[in-house]
Amino acid sequence: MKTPGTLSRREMLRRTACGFGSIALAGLCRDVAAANAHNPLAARAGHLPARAKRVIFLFMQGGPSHVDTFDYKPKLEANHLNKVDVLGYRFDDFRKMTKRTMMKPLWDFNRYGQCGHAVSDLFPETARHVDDLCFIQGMHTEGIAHGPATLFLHTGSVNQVRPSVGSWVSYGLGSENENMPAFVSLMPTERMGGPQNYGNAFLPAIHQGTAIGKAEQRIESVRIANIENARMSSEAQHRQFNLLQNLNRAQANQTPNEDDLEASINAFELAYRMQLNAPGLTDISGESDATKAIYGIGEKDTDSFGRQCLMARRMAESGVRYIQVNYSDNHGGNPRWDQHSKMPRHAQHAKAVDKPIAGLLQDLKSRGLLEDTLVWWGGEFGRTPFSQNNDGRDHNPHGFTVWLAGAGVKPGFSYGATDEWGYMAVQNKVHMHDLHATVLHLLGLNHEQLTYRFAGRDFRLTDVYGKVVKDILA
Amino acid sequence: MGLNEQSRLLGIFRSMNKIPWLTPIEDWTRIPSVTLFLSLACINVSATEPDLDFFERKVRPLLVEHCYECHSSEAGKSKGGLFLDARTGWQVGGDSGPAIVPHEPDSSLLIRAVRYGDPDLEMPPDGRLSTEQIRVLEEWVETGATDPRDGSIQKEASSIDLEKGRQFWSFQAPIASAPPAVQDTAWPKRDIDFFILSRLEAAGVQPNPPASDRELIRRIYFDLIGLPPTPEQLEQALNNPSETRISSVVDQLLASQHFGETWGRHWLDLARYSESTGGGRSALLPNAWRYRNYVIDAFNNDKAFDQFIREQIAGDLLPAESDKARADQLTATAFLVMGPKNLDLQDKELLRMNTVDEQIDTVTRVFMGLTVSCARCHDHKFDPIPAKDYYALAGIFRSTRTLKRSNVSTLTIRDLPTSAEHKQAVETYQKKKKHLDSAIKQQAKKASTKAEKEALNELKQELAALTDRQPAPLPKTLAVDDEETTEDYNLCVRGNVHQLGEKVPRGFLQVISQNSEHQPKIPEGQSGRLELANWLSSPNHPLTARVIVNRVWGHLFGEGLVRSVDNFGTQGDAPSHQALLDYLAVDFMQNGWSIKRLVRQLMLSRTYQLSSSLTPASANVDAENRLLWRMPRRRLTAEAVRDAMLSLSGTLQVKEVECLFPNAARNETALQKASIDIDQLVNPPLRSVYIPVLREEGLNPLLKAFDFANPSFPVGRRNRSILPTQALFLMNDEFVMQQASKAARLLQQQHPGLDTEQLIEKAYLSTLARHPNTEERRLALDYLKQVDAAQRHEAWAQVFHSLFASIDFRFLR
Repeated sequence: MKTPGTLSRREMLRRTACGFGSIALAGLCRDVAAANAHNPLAARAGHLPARAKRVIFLFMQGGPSHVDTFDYKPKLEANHLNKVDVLGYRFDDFRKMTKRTMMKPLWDFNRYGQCGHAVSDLFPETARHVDDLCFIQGMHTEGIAHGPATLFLHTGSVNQVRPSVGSWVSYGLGSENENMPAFVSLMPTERMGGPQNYGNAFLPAIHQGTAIGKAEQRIESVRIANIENARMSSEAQHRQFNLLQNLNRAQANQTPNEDDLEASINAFELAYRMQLNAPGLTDISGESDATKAIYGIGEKDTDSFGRQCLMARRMAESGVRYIQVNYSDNHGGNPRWDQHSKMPRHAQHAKAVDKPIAGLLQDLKSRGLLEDTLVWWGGEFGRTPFSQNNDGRDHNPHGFTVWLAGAGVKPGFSYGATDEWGYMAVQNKVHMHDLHATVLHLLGLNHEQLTYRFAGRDFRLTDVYGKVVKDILA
Repeated sequence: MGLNEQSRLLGIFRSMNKIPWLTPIEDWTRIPSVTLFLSLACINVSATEPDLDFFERKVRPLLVEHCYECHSSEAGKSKGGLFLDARTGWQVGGDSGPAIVPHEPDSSLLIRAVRYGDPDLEMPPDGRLSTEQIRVLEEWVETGATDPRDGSIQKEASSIDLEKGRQFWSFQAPIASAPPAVQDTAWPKRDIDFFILSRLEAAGVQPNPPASDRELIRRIYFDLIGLPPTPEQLEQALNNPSETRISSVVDQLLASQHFGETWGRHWLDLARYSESTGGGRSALLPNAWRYRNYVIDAFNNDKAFDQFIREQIAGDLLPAESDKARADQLTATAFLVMGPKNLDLQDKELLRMNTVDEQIDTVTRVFMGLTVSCARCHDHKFDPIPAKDYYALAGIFRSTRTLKRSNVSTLTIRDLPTSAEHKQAVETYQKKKKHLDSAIKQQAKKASTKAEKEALNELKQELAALTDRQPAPLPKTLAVDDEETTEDYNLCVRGNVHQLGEKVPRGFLQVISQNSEHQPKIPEGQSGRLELANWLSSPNHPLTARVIVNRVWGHLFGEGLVRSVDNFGTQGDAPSHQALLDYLAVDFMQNGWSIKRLVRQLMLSRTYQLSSSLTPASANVDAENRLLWRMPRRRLTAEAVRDAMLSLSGTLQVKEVECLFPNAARNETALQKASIDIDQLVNPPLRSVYIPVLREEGLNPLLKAFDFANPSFPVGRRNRSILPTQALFLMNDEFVMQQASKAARLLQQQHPGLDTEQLIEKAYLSTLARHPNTEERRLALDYLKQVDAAQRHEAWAQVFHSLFASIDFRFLR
């Protein structure tokens, strides 16, 4: 892929026409867009035929336990409370063999669907969709603590500041609807890397993820920043806007032909029109009661995540390219799924997300959107099969499960495996770099060709690693 | 071949990496040829039939299926430098050495890899082979690794030619040439102008006329102190005699405290200054402000730039004249600590080397404009920097203590000198507090009667009184120290910190070192940082002065003479005026490495003082203004936008501050932040340079929207984006509207007797340092006329709001 170099002023101008955060609805600035074939967010073809047009990533922050959800290990039940030697990986036992106490799953497993995949009682609603899901059960990743692993999941690097997946996708493909941001993160956590997880790092600013709301915010108050004016009525603001633009034109006329000044005036025009239209992205009041019900909206446990999932569907319909829906909080130590003790608390988190996820899958499918939308469910890592603090489980980056659904992946399929305990991925291992490469591939991007020149080097999401997992492609 | 001979050959086989003519193979990087064809057929071992049969039936298919994809000539891949499709491939081995030691499976890398026992050495990468398959390979190696495959392999080797590399312009010492002759001898004011004009004349481009005094004064104010001139300051400057009008403004502002706040901030961009570590479990850095203030003071005191370099790299190792100098020098080394970290990374070796890498990247980019970090995993692809040079530097930083290993690692914090009285006071306080604490604890146990309860209360009051009067805590700073063990480090194979290659003596870049300078004598027990600091700040270094002079030029002219201000390597931009750059670099070194002198020199040139108007005739020839026929219209920095609004609203508090964190977050590296109101913390009514820069917890929203430097890597040139989000910010953000409202009220208070038209004049003078033209005056008048008296203030606030949002406010003329 061609790597944009330093920007000339003229490029800058193009760049701004329907620029970053052009959160206006369809058709809003078609005229400007038409005049600017080089709009950096204009949709463009990737390197390969695309199977997916967009991604919805359901981020389960904290590390849900695979052995209690989608990776059934009968041997754990048989060896409950037995001590077993495993390879240590924490600071104090790094790479030493250590005795650990195995702990059986806390929930029963049942087989579902045609494929017969075993799912625990934590996800009964999602389980009804197993024939649409593609389980990757030999996942492994970098980073043993939340911070490094969360950053690795989002950026492919444990501690160097790199662009996030969505930013790369925006850079590679632009936005399906050029009046939309290409990359949105709904209610992201402010911890564990915070903004870096949707940051553009060294990519042009236009590819930064638009954060809408933040973790733990009341869902009803979630808005795009500065999209409303709290002081002025709309008539008053309209009057003032005219004054501003008249002043701007008067100033620009004194020093004509300056691209930057024209670009600034255009940015105001666009911003003003966005302000009139964009709030619709987060407004679900027009959705039918039946639709809201399948997402669990209105029910105490599922209302918040249900609304997020429904907003995600609205964004998918409007053409946002990469939508991250966060089930997260702002806890500095133990984020949501992080049960180092009290594993039973997994039930509360599963309850909050299960029905909304099933609702999203059903809704996408019935609208035909699942055909070109890739859904990705997963955390930054899984959890250990052995116990910690009696009734908890520690982080496990060496083996865990994520699932994909929709565009381009085999439905009702599972790929790879962890060892008999569920500790280490051993068969058909998929590294997070491989998953990144595969997601890009499904979007029509070659992860080795999607590069950006910075500080003397061509950077990639997958660094010098990553392999497309061809076996899961439909 | 008899048995004896066979076993003798096997012996050679086992020790083949000790055979003299084979040893250099590990050192291909030094051989200048591009490829090497290798064939070791001469030490072929005749094999028995059953062994060959075993290989063909069991081993070959396994290798073909599981290894060739990444390790064969046919696939065109030799990952890790290893080929497995010829005997020579595993005999020579990859980056980590021979892959198989015949008869010794436990010593064979290939066997260790397929056993999956070492997380850094697991093959095939996508899953462990079956136990039977592993057994096949073990048996093959145990019985001598019979392998009939005679093919040759082709290895990539280093193609770096240092001699050729040294010919590149930026690796040659700068030479000052005399200013060139020009036709229009009346035009140049300073030497700089001769260099500029001669190029313009040669290209037939007419330079712009000078900017008006008002335009120029506003330009100079923002460039030097990041604030607009007040109408009084403007008036005063305009009243000066014309010949000294501009120079006296420049001199007055160079002496202002605000100069360091503005130019120090340019440096903080490069130093990736932050008050939190970022990364996963981001820790606050309550001592970081000392470094910030050190930088501000250094620019205000015009600290010689070579000394500034030495202090930041090795201040702790320099002799100090006084306690104050010692404190400054220790604080300066926080430069090396400031980078983003993921302190809870559990692989502590990786954390340590990522920290070293970040230091190498920062130091080489900031001071030399080179991207040495590219050579971590392999020789630099574009510049003549072998991986060995990287690890020569790595040894220096690895011998430097930046972190303390722990589950959540901590940064190095060092005590600063302080008076004996202060130490005494702290000690006394701590003793008394300890005593009271235990007395309270004891008393609390037996506090049942009224008298006992009263005694407890008294003790508690005493403690409260003591705490109120507690002395300031002993001063500490983020800093580095030399490690207890200082030593050379090894080359990491493909950058992997768990796969060490050859030892590399500590040293500097070969391509820019004279003779044997690149390997200094490092005294026993020292890291080599002092030698590095001296090498970087030496007048013989071809890059250091050029790079900083170019940075200063870039801040004043919008672009550097070398536009890629952070890259002077072969991938960087060529200088537009190399003779001028070299002239300035040499002049800078010969005149005490003085930044203020350089800034003054540039500002008093005719070139800096040109009008910014876009003249079509010149633009047609040189649209990008590479020849400097005009001053481009530059935009204000985010800080200047914010500070100007605060200043116009009358709410800017002008003072140098220390740590703004609440007390609860002031322990050495604070992880507990739940109690902090971040929104409030990052929006104090102070100069923006003092706003805490937090990597994870949140930046000030205005700074973030207007291209503030990403605090996670050195930024020599900020982004210059024009985005609808910025427009939305200016239209709707509460901060902007508040300042506009206050500015409107202030204007009315300051000028009670003036009519609307006169007030409009004043508003333009204060915000834009000029008078409104007829149309601008009419627009404002009409807007204010349409409202009745009750809405008067609101309407005025909206006028100021519009002026703040207008393009002339943000784009300097």
